Amino acid sequence: MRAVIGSALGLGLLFMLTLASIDPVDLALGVTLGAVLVALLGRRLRLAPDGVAVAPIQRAVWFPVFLGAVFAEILVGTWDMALRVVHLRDLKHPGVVRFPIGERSEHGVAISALATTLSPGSVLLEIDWERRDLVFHFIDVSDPDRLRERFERFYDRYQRKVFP
Amino acid sequence: MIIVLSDILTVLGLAILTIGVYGFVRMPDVYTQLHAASKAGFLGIVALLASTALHGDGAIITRAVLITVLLALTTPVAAHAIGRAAHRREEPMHISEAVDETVDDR
Repeated sequence: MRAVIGSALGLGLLFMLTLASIDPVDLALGVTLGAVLVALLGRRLRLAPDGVAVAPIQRAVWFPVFLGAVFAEILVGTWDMALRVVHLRDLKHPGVVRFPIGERSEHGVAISALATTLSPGSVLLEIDWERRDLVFHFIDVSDPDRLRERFERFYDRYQRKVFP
Repeated sequence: MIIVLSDILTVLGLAILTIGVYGFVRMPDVYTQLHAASKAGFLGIVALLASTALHGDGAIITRAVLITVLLALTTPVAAHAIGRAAHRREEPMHISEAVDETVDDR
């Protein structure tokens, strides 16, 4: 029941974001539509249970830090992409690389994928649950091991405390 | 001061969007085009929204924030959908030194 309400509320909030509105009537309409969708589509729209619990205070304290780190990655990625587009940096070694999922929960995998894909220069292609790998395309994979190390370091420093 | 900052953000946003469009034309394959076109635009639009928010009242600032959050959630999903489709269709990378760690899986 909690998952159903959570999913309906999440869809309601997405509806409000789409309308760029904070009108309570829009929220009510969004939650109603979300509830109808959840009822019609069932489990396909429900949030997966988060296996790892994080104290809400810890999450609240570290969330701004995590957001700041993601924003910094976006700035660095945009700058790097801009240099490559205007021919000031080489475009020699783009490619597809595998990153181990490691200890991430399902929510953690989703957040890692979202945060990494948001930054220009990296896009999630697949999640391989059998091999427990995330498959990304990166604009520069001249040193794949360094990329993997950086990906893990970002998770350990900023994400683990918020979305493990 | 606010007007100057707003103008700077507008020019920055337009510059980023222009680079994104040029990148789409310049990049050789669908994967690299994705980096330039879809996501470089995110920061460009956010800069334009920030510029608008500097002039606006509370309602406009709220809208700018909501649009930013929506873009932050949907831009990666759209890029992932296109990237996954290209990968599953085995779209080639048109750069000779490109790396593919999934090539053995095919």
